Amino acid sequence: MNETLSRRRVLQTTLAAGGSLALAGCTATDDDEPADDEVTGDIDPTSRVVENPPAAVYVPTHAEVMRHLDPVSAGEFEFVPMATYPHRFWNVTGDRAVEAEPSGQDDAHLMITVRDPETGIVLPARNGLEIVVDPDGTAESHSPWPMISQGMGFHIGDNIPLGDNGTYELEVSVGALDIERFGEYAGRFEESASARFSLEIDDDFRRLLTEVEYFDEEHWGELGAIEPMMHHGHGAHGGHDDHDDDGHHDDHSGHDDHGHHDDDHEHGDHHDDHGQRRFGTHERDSDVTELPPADDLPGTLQGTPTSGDAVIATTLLSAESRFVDGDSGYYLAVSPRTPYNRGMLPTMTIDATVEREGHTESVVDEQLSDALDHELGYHYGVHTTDLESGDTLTVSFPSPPSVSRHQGYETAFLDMEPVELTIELP
Amino acid sequence: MALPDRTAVSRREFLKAAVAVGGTAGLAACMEELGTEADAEIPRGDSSGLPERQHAWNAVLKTDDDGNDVPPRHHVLRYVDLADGIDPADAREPLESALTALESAIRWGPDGLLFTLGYSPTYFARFDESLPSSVDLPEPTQLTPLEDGLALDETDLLIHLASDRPDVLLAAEKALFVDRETINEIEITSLSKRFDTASESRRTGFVGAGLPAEKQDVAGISGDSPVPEAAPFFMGYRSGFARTQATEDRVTIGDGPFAGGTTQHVSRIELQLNAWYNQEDHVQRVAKTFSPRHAAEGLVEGVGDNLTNDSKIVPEDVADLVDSARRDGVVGHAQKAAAARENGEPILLRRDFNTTDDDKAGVHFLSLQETIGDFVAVREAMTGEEIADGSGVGPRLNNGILQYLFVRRRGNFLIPPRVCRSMPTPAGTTAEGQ
Repeated sequence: MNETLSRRRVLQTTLAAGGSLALAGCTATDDDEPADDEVTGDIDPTSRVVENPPAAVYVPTHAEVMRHLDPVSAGEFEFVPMATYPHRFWNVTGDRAVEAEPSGQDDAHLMITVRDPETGIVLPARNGLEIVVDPDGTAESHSPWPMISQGMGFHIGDNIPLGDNGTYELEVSVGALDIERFGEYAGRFEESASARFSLEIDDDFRRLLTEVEYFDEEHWGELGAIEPMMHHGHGAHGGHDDHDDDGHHDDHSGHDDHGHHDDDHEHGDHHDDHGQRRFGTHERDSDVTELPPADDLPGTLQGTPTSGDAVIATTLLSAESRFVDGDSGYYLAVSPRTPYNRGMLPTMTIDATVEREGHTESVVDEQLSDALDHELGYHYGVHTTDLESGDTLTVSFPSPPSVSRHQGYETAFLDMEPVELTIELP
Repeated sequence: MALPDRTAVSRREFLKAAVAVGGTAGLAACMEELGTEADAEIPRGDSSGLPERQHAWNAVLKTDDDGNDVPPRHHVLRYVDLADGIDPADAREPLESALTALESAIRWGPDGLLFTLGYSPTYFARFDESLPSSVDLPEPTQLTPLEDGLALDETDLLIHLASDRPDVLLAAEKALFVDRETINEIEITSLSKRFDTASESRRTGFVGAGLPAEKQDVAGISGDSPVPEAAPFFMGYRSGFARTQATEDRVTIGDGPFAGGTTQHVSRIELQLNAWYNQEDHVQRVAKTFSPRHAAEGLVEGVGDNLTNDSKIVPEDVADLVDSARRDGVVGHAQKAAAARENGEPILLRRDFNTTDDDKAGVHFLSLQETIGDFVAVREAMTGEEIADGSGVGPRLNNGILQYLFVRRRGNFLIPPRVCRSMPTPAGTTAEGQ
């Protein structure tokens, strides 16, 4: 290419000149093929997809293998970074989910879970997201996607071009949690924060994609989900997730108590503890995922209808609760969640209307805003006054969650019809 | 940055690189490349009869088949300070002489040279008197939470030079800042003794179909050369349509000592187009660049050639952007821009261009407006804070093209009318001392 520097060469040259990074193993010349081409073989998770998947949460072809990096603290937040091979995901604009395949130049799929270091609870950090590669040198910024996956739940992620093998410094930023915060979250997470960590790209890392274990093909596309992995605790994994170590999920007694979702699917409990099958249609235990079980939500549970395969857990809290500022009215909280794993669904739009017998017009017409509470978890809520038992509540979704999706979630939570509930006052 | 091997790149790319390199080396490369050709002759100018407004470029710009003004293809921004110990009054006459000589030497127009001089709030702060109330020129400042780490451009002057011809641009720049130069037998005395022209304050760029595609091998753009050949901007779509641009009259200060002038805002914006090109499709890009209606109805073909002279935003697209965002889950850049119009008319005249300065894809977002307040109002509309607060659309996610833009620097300048373009006092003192 002579002196027309390729992007990769520019990066290397600048890094070398800046001297700010250890570049051991980074010895490419113009003649070298990019190292990511060295790992090929016949297993390529970026090419395995389920044909004609259902418009629902489904069992993907494989569970991802990844490197867990040490958690880092960032202001009031804690970041749990993970990295794996670049892989496809789906970006959502409006009600379309469009497949995003890795470009030939992506070197890693980065994922960061943002959580409260005091409780370990995953936070809906969807704003002010930035990943800067080599912050002291070329300082190339990316706005990563807020994303959901069955194994990771809600996180920040993107496929990122880095370069050849070497150690890369990364700076990740999140914005303040500029949503309403109740209870123990009131006044917390009001400042944006950033933290740095390094990611080593080496041949072992690039080989991660050859270590992917596929589920039996007969299960691909079945209704169900991989169980969340975050409950394994942080920093405990040296290499990658090993399916043999996840003994927790033997105990899934909760599913009998939460059978409503299974009923909606007219589907038996597929959960299977043997072999590779780390998926099923049962609801996960209360301590293993992002949102509390519907039955544990404070207030009077109005119901758990489904829409677009999301469970729309809806509860009503009285004026005595901390959610109502004043001594009258109610707080209507809608907690949409992924089935099975109870993952949060940020970035959607929710409206509520209430109709009453004898009234031609709706008596309540509200837009809900997202909020966080230590008991309700992440939810969408609104204060409302004029409610009576027996009223018909319609919860509608003018736009579905626009979070990006990993495989198994890209066909769900898109076509979301309104749901109806009958009001039962607290 | 070094010049590329001439044999390895196209002529256009080589000339573009020469502008980016600048200085004697860049000029020499340009002259050598063009030297054997008849059109290398620089068209001679005439300093008399030039418009009162420095920013009155449109009359001499070419127009395309759809009636849109075509901006000059190559641009240089020189951020300069008055040298230590030099009084503005002492620099006034030499500066005006140099500028007049430049205008006599090179024709006013894109085939020759177009330029403006702008003065910052920092420049005016040295005077005891304040700018009149007819001029709105605040210090630049961070305008949104997305701009953490923003640097401010506070040099005294910003000189914007533009031409379709890289050789002319470099010759003019050399004459002004490097050394005495004779162009078309007219001698131009450089300003190097009176101005501090640090090379890091030199920024360059280009705009026009073909140029971004040629120059896409930089940080911020990855994949298999994704920028379309026909795209005038790195983002891949046409913009600056006649009907989306303010008129020169709209952006001109109406009264006071600087009547006939305008204000200039320049942001240095870094682009990160990895996701834009590799993780989204045309329909998504159209929804974010124009509107979800444009995407749903297939209104934008290719880079937008079928849009002729308008972004085709209709009043219904902008009636209630929060409501649109709640319903559509996305709001287009053009939708937000249209919402910032006054009485249906755009208030900014964009003269922005692409850049590969620092080997990063970017934009020098240069806009002219009557007041900096007009720019701030449009910027607030583009930030879409109400939209992000009231819908599932985020501060960046699905909020126009904000996910791909990183504002790094920003500066505000007053472009006085031609009569007092050289070292004006806040009262608009002219070179003749009026």
